[in-house]
Amino acid sequence: MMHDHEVLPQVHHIFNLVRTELGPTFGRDRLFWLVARSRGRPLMYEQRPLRAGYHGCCFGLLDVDVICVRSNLAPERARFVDLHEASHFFLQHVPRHSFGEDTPSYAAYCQHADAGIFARALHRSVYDRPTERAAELLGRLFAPMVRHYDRVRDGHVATLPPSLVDLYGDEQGDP
Amino acid sequence: MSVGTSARLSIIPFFLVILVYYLHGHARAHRTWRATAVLLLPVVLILCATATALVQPSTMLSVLATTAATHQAVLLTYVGIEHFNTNTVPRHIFWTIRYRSGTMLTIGVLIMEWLRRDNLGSFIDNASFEPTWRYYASYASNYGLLLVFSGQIVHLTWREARRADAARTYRLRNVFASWAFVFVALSAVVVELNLLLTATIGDAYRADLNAVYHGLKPIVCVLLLLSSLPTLLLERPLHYYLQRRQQQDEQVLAYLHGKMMRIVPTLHLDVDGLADAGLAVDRDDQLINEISDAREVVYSHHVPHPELLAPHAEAELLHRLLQEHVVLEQADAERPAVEQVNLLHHTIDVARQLRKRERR
Repeated sequence: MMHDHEVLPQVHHIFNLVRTELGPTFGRDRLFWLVARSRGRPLMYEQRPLRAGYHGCCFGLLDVDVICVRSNLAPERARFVDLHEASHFFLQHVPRHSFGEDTPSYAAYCQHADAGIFARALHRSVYDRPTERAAELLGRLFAPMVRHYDRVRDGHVATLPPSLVDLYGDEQGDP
Repeated sequence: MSVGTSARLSIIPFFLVILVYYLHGHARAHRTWRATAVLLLPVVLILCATATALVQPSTMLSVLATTAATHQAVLLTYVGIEHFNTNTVPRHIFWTIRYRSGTMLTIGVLIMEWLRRDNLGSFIDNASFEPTWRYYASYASNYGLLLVFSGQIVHLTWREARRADAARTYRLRNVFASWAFVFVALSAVVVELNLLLTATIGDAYRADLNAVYHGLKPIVCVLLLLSSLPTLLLERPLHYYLQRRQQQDEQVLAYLHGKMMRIVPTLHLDVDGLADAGLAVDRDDQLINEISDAREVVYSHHVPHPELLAPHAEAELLHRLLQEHVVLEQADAERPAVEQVNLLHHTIDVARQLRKRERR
């Protein structure tokens, strides 16, 4: 079992900062916007087929930052991976040039993206490193806030038609 | 007392309760009479139809009144449900196309009834009658139209019951209404079948099938009463049921999580510290995430294809790994990733199968 005492204060601090900036609920796009603003450059998001154990990865290129998520994930799983990868940026785990002198531009990366680059990038797998544990904890803290936002946006916060409320009364609890 | 009479008498209290509830609601909620009338009229009409059907032997007037009141009650219920569900009560409900076309069909049935005015023995009360085509046609058209109206209500209410974005009591109300009219439709089918058998092979089954027909009435009444309950009364048992089911799901997920973390211990993230810091992580999120991650590691080593196994096969694999005390560190990155869809249902099914297997 991995213990989180070493990463907890930083996670707590960043979580409070993001909540202050974005409010109690926010969409994934809004979170990505905050990543881009804090890094001072565009954040590119993409989905690709990745190998087993690689749910997603993130890295900094010469001109942009990239979050790459495995393309065959169920939507609810993809949401967690998105938040996990965004958390790496907030926690300052991602260098501006992730591959040192070999770091390509985004245009070059698009032409020559291969499995090697994903293996060298920060990727979500087991929690053997403090950076992965911290990003996972922060992502899991963001998850209910983003889920609630998505439910409201998609109209899945169930309500009764007013005429039926008039007839039979309202529900007491959340659906 | 005949079966028909006792069945008719038994349904009166149900509709009186619904009638009183709607009248009480009208006074309490200061609802307009137009909205209340849409609800009250079908109830009043059913009570009228029941009262006129109790007249034995039947007269032309009682037959026409029973048929007209029954059809109008079902038709108005259909129009009312549709308008209340879409939150629109039309200013003149009697001038809607649906109501007018339904009423035209009812008039056609009434003409068929009138054509057998000298042959009024009640088929559904086992009375004697002249087996003429007019007699069979009038009953067949009467119950055939009832079947059509009921089918439309079932279609409407079932569609609403399946709406994922609707409030849960609203969906439950529609489930009850849907089943009520499934039974109305079924009773119409029973009468049609009875007519067919009587016309072709004689009345050997007539009394039994009529008993089935009348026996369905109390079931319809109970379901209609349930569909008309105040939201608060529906909400409490529903909330209790859902909470209980959620607890059961959490229990089986926690059980599976414990087992999978024995196989892939590196995937468990301790979140207790977050609670101490006043932060909360959704427990279900944690369980389902770590189980899914562990599944990926297990599949990458032990399943040669990227498709999800059937729940029983996955449970069997996990059972074997647990018995062999297999411990895995991480996924075999040379393997394609498993496609995980419909995660929650699959995971709960696997957990149940594994628990069943381990209890043996």
